[in-house]
Amino acid sequence: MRLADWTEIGRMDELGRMDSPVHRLDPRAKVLVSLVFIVLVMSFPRYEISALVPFLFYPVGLIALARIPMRHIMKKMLIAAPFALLIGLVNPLFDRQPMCSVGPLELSGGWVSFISILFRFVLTVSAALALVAGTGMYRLGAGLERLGLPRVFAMQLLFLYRYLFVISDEAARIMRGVRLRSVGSGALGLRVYGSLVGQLLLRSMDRADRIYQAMVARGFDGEIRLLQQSVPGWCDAVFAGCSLILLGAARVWNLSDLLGIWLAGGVS
Amino acid sequence: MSIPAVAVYDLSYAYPDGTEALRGITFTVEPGLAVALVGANGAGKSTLLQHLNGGLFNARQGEVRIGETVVSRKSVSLVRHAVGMVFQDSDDQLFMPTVAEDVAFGPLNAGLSSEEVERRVESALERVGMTQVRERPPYRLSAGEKRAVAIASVLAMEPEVLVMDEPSANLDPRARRRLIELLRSFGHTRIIATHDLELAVEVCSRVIVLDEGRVVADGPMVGILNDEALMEEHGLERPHILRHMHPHT
Repeated sequence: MRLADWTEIGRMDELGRMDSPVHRLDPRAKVLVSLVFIVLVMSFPRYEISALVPFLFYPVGLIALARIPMRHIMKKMLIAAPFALLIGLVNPLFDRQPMCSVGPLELSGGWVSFISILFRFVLTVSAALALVAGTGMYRLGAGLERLGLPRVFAMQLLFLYRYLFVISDEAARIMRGVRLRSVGSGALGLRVYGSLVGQLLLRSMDRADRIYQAMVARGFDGEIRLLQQSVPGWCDAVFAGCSLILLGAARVWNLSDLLGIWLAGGVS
Repeated sequence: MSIPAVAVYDLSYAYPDGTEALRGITFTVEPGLAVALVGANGAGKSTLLQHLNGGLFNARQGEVRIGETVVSRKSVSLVRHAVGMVFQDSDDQLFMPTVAEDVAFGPLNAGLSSEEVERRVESALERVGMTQVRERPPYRLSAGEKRAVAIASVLAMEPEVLVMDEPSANLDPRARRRLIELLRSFGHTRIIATHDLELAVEVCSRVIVLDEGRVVADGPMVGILNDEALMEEHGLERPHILRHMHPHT
């Protein structure tokens, strides 16, 4: 299977070029809110779960407004899930202090922080995926540059993205060549893989050279100029302002607890 | 007599590893003419093309002139606007995220106004019949569409000379046919390096045969390509199309 198929980057790209209220927002506003979102989610103490719940509204709202299929985002999250699981799984082993009980079940601190880590993973990764799918890599790169990311990095990002498909095709061709000539020999040795990777590197370097030649032939002077730059409007300001206020409120007050108290107060 | 659009005088070039790629190449091309550059692999075609738009300019001797300008480190930006280069692998040439951005790349670098850039993008895409793929990412196009867009990206710079490296490589017959019609319709000075001798016969009126870095023949297309002995000696063959020059139709 090809890398591009496996990660369905092409699909992500299609989503990025759709039109929706989210897609029309200035990429800088979305990048800014997403960054603040991730930092806030990460800033909670390790045993926190309930205060994190209100943060779920941001990625879910973004995905819904951008009309991105939720299933697609879920599939993408599964790819990254093993990393979070591995990091989190250590906690229940070391931290066995009982913390709270859910019915007859006694939960240790380790399990609580494990759940907290998984929950943060879901929040941050879905927010990042929603950002990419709701903006498109290309507008995202341009937005990052205008936010102050050094141009070299922004360009690296765009070129990496543009040539991921070309290079993964190249890798697939090399692999096919190897498979056709290694029938029945079972797994390939490390040496074979070493030379394959080297081969791919050399081909990529040659290609990079040719691309640079092509750029220079059309007057490239170190700056990539774009056709249309989006102009931030009041919509972007309202989006960024409201999101930041709501996120800030959710960080300062535990909205889940407040809701519970308010509901309980209403009942009594 | 008018000034030739392209003039190469006694050009020699050796790669840093010592390989002598060009050994005293001399030819001139009159404005508006289409010239085919043929020769076996390694004859020096690509190296020569790179000299024409300042991709390489450390020639050991000789010079290249585009119109009245001598190609040098100083004149290189002028030369690159006058000479449009279409690369062999379109993927190398289409590096921007959308077709429109790619076609706009050259004009934007030239510092043109956004209205002028827009006009050029539109007219270049229309010229090659690709307006419908304007907003698509280049990697999603077919080989023929990629080639057409790559040509549009060069046309948008409004060059006087078009230089092409294997324009028909990897094209299916229909895309190749369209390309031939397109190349025939241009009024630019065209220098086309190709192994596709039948394309050369249809598009060009003159041919330059290279072998081991030297010009071994230069003259009217039909006369030279019909010279079976000459063609075979230099790793080529007499194209089938010339065996009965009267059209099939």
